[in-house]
Amino acid sequence: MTTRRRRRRASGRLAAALLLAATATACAPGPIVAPLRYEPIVLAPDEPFRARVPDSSPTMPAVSLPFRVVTLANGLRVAHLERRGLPIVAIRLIIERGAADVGAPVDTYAILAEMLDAGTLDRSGDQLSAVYARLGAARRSFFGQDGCGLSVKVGAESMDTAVALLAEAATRPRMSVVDFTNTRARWLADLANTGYARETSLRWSTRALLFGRAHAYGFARPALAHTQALRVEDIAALHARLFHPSQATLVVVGDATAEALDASVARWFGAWSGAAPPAPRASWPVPPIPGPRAVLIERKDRAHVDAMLFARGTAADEDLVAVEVLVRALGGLSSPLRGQVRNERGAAYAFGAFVVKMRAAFYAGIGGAFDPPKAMQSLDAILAGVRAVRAGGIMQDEVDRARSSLLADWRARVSTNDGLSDTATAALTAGQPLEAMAAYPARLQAVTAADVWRVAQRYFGEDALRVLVLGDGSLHWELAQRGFGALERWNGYGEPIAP
Amino acid sequence: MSLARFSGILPEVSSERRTSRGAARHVVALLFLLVAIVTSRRAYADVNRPVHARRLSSGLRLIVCPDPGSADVSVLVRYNVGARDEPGGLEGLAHLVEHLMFTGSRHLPPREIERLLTRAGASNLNGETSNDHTFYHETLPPERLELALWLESDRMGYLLDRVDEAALNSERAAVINEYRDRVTDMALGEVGGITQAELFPSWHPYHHAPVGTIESLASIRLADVRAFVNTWYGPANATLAISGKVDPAAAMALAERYFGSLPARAPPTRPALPALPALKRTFLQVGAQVTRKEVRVAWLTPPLGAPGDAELDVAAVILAGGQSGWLQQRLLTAPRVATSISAAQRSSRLASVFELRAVVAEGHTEREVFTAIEQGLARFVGGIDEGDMLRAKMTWYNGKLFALESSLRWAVQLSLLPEAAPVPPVFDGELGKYAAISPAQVRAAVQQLLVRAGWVVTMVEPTRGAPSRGVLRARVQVEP
Repeated sequence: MTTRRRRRRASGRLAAALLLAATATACAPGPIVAPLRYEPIVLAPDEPFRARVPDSSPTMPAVSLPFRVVTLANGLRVAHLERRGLPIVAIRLIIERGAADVGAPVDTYAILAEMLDAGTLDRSGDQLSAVYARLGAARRSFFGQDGCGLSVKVGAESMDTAVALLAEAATRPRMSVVDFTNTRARWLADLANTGYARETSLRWSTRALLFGRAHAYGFARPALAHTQALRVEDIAALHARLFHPSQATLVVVGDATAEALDASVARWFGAWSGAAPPAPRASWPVPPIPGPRAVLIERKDRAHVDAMLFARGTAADEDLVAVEVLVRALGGLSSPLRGQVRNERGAAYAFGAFVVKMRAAFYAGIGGAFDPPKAMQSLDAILAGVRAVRAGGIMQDEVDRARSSLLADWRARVSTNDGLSDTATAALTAGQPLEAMAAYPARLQAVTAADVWRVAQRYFGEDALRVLVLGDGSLHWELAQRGFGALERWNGYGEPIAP
Repeated sequence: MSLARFSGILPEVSSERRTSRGAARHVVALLFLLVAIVTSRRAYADVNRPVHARRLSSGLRLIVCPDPGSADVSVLVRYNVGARDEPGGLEGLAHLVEHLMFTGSRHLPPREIERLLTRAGASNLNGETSNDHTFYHETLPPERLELALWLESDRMGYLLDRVDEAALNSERAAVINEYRDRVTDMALGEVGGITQAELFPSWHPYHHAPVGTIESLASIRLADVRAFVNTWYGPANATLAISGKVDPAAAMALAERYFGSLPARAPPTRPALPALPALKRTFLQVGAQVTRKEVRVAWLTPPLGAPGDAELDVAAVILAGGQSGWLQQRLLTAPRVATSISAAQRSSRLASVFELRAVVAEGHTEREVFTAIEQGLARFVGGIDEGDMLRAKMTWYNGKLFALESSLRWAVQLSLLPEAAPVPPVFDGELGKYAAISPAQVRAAVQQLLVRAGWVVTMVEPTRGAPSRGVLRARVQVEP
C-alpha cells in the first residue's frame, strides 16, 4: 500500500469517527424544554417613583416576654409564657448544670444523652418512641457544656401527656445494661466518623485550640479504654448529679393556660424528689489562651480549604453584645469583608462569622470554605479586616447594620415557641435570669461604635488570635509564612500528631 | 426504682419508704397517662386565616394573608421556573440566575439589596432553586414592607440593566464554590445525582440536579442568562405572597404600585413530555471513601397532588417515621442490620421519587438490609392498623402545624397553591390534607407504586482511594 493510500485511509477513518461522534452528539437526547428567548430584550420603561428608596432605617421591636414563674415545693421552677396564636406548645426541661459543672467526660455525657431516649422504668425505648409518634410530637435532648435537658413540642391538646412523658424520661430512665451496651457501641462507631467528617473535626479542634484539652470547655476525646471501662452505673450516677429538681427549670411556651399547666406539672413533676438546694456551679477559670497559634488539620481529598480566624474571651457580660456587633460587622451578610472575599474575589460560597457564648467564656470565629488557590489570600484579608477595626474602629453605618441584623435574628428566634425556648435555654444555662432575654434589644441598641472599637482592642489583639485550617498538607509552608510562630499539625480530634 | 434514689441525697431507709408511697402514686399516674394518651386523638384544630388574592394587570398573582398576632411580615416571590427549564448543556443556569438576582438591578446598585435589608432588620433573606420553582424571600418588621416590595419589583423588572460579565463571573465562582461545598466535598454528595440520572431518562427535565456541573456552569454565557430571564422572569410567571402583620388593602395598593406596571412577559408553553418509561430494576454500585455501607432504594412515583402522592407520604411515616416505623422495628433491633433508616416521598410537579435510605450496621451486608426493606414493604399486604394510620397522620399534621409558626412558611405554602385554580378565601396550611386517607388507599398505593414497580437500588461500598462524594463503579439491570 502506498503512503498516500495509507494516509487517505487513515484520514477516511478519522473523518468517519468524527462524523460518528458528531452524529452521536447531535442525537444525544437532551432535556425536552421550552426554547429560551434569545431575541432582543425590551426593557421595562422607567417610572420616576422607582428612583426613591423606601425607608430602610432600623426599627425597635416592641416584643414583650412576660414569663410567669412559679417554684414547686421540690425546687423545680416553671417558667410559662402563654401564646394562643396556634394550638402548639413547646415544653423544655432545662438542667442548669452541664458537663463543665460536674467534670463529666465527653463519652459519659454523650451516652447519658442517648440513654434518656432508650426507655424508662415503665416502657422501652421503642414504646416511648411509639407514644411520642402517636402524639405527632417533635422531641430531642440537648447536652451542652453548661447545661442539658429534654424538649418536646406537641399540639396543644397533648400538653398534659407530653409533660407526663417528659417527666417520665427525665426522672425515671431505664438505664438497662443492654441499652447501655448498645448505646456505647453506637457512640463509638459514631466517634470514628467524627474525626473524619469536616464539621466535627473543626468542632473538636476549635475547642482544643481555644481552651486546651485539659479544660472543661476543651472538649477532649476520651481514651478508648475509658469508654470501654464505663458501666451503666456511671451513667446513672451522672444522671443523678444533673437531673435534680432544684437545678432544673421547666420552660413552657405556647397554647397552654396557667391552670391547666400548673395542674399538669404538679401531677407529673410534683413527686420528683430532692428538695436540697442546687449544687453550686463549678468555677472553671478560663486559662490564658494555650498552645499553638496556628493549627493545620490535613485532608488530602477536599476541593476546599477551611480557614477560620478565632478570638476568645472570658465572659465579661457587658462586653459580649459589643463583641457580637463587631463580629457581625466583620462577617455578616452585608459586611465589606464578605463582599471582598466572596463576591469580588470569588473565593468562597460559605463565608461568615459567629460568636459562641458559654457561661464562663465566649469565642468568635470568622472564615469559610475557600477555593484552595485563594484560601491564604482570604485569610490575609480576614486578618487585615480585624487589624483595621482594631486600629480605627468601624463606621456608624456598619454598627447600625450589624445591630439590625442581630436584632432581626433575635426577633425571628423569639417569635416561635421553639425559638423562644432555645433563647431561654441559652440564658438559663449561662447563669442569666430569664429577664435577660427581654433586655437584649435595648442592650444591643446601646452599643456604640466606640464600644465596638474598645472590644476589638481588648479581645482581638494580635496575641489572642488563633488560626485553624483544614486542607492539604502543602498549606503548611504558606501558613508558616504568616507570623503565627510554630505551626502544629492535628488530627480530626484536635490532637497533635507527630511531625 | 424510685425517684428518690435518683436524687442521691436520701438515706436508704427513707428512700425505701418513699419508694412504696412513690409506687402507689406512680400507679395512679400511669393510669392518668394511659387515659391521656388514648384520649389525645386530635379533633383537628382550626387555624384558618383569611386570604386576599388577585391578579394584577401585569399578570402577577398576588396573595396576602394577614395575621394580626404576628410580629413581622414575610414577602416571597415564587417564579414558576426551575432547573427543569434548563436547556441541555446549561445545567445550573436557573440557580446561577438566582444568585445574580442579588447583585443589583436598575435602581439597586450592586449588593445594595443585602445592605438595605440588613439595615432594615430583615431575616430569612435568601433565594432557593429547585427543579420546579425559584423562590426569593425576606422577613421584615411590618413597617418596612414597602422596602421589600420595591426591591423585589426592581429585580423582577430591571435585573438585566445591571447584569454584566463581571457580575456573571463573580456569581459563577460563588456557585462553583457552592457546588464544591454541596457535592465535591460532601460525603456521598454525588450519590443523589447518580440515582437521579438513572431514574429519569436523558430527555427528561429532572435528569440532572439543579446544581449543575462545573463544566456546564463554566459554559454558561451572558446571553444565556439574559435569555433565561427574558423567557421566565416576568410578573405573568410569578406569585407574590405576603404573610404576617399586614393590612391587606395597604399591601395590595403597594403591590399594585410596584408590580402593576411591569411588562407581563408571558412565559412560553412548556412542550408536552412523553410518559416516563417503566423503571427497570437496577442495582448501582457506588464506591466512596466513607466508613459505612449504605443502601438507597428509589422508585418513580406520581407527581405532586396526583393520586398516590399523599398516600405515599403516609406510607413513608409508617415505614420509617420518627423512631417507631416498621422498618425501624425490623432493621434497628436485634440482630440490628442497620444503624439508621429513613423514608420520604419527594414530590415534584412532573414526577416524584420515593426513597428509602439505610446505613448498614457493622458486620452486616447491603443485601441483608435490602431484604429487610422488601419484607417491610410486604407487610402492607396484610393491611395497616389504625394505630399506624394515626401515627402517620399525626406526624404529618403536626409537621405542617409546627411549620406554620413562621410567617414565611405561610407565604411559601400560599405561593404554591395551583396557578390554574382560584385562591381560596381562607387557608389552613393544608392541615386537613391527610385526614381522609384510608388504610386501604395507602396499602393500594404501596402495592401498586412500590411493591410491583421497578426500582433503583444504590449500594454504597466504602472504598479506599475513591472520592468521598462517591463514584459509580457498576450498574446491573436485573430485568431486561
